[in-house]
Amino acid sequence: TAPAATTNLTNRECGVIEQLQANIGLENQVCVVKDIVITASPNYPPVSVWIMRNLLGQKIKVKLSTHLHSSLTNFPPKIRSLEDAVTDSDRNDCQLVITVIWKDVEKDPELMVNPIKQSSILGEVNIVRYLGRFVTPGYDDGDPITATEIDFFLEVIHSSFINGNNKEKQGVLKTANVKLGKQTFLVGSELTIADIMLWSVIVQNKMEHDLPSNVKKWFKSLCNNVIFSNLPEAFYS
Amino acid sequence: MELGVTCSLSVPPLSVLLTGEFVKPDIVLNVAWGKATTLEISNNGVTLNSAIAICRYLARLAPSKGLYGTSVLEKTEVDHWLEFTTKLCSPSEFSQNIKYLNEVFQAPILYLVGQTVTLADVAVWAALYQNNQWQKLLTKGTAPFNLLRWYKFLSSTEPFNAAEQLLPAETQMKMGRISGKDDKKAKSNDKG
Repeated sequence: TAPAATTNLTNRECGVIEQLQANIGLENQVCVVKDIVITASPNYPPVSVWIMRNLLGQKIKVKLSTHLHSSLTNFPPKIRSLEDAVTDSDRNDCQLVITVIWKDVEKDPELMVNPIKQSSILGEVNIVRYLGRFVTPGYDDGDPITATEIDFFLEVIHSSFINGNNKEKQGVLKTANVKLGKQTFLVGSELTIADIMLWSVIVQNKMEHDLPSNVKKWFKSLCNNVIFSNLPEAFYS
Repeated sequence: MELGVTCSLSVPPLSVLLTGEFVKPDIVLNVAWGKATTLEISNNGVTLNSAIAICRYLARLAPSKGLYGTSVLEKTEVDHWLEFTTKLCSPSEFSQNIKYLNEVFQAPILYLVGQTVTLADVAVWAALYQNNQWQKLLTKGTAPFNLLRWYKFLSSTEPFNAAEQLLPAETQMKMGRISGKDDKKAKSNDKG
């Protein structure tokens, strides 16, 4: 039976390789449907995914749907209303289909990569980086300094805000406050995923009413931007 | 292109020094030892003071080396491992993280991301190399099998095999990499 088993395995491997090659092709031309599946805890909703959906939706057709995992016991009902009001038949018109599965998982949401490799991508900052590479141009397609400054800010948000205590959170806001005293956005002269990520964690921690002055001004001005509008209310009212 | 970087003597940024070896000869890193790890970008007024951020910057300055992966997905996988490294050696999470890494290497892969060395390998390898708990597992022979396979494989290749020489001598002593015997020998040599 050994040779037969080997042949079966080889066939399966070929299938996997074909699948992988198809995936690689998709990344370079977002004209075919690209599926992104994220699992997240409803206690830590990755708000930035919704902002990125709105941002990407200005250029390409994006659908976002949510599912409840059967293991889930406690669920804030409001979050369900965040689903796109489109029917399943629209799916084929979309270039990007994002599915968020609410599940009893840890703080870090998870981006499912592919079934053959054990690893997946953990953390909202990394999911926002991934989605930020589908924007044209991607956040890291241009100047290496700007890209690295954005990444550094995301690193700080991950370690000192998301995984930090209250004092560390205030430290991040203080740093942001100094930056935003001199410029409109956190990095460079345009809105970047660094702004999107900080805005997201402020909303998740319900800190929007307790911000240092420059951050408060920046937060409010982003709320007037169409890609952010209504999101705090949608998640928490 | 030449870049000056100051490296912390107390916490040597091995990942930066290894990345510096990979980006040669496109980028030449001039290392000075000091209090804290910083890289000043002269024409811009920006200072990078995180080892990981400096690694990212170097990888982006030398894109032909493929240290940041080759596709959108690979780039994000690299980001995943860089974020993972920041907490890899926190004492409360160490054993759980080692277990996770060992599971990842159950797959028949040589590198963490894609088909060549990336910043992911550099950062995770450097974090383990500089970690006492990991060194203890190596000495006791209790490091988990799959992870050890990858660690040893990288350790046998350039520039990982010469990592020790990238660190200042006093750090090498502190890390216990010079065994007690050699230490005594060195001392007696000093006397002689």
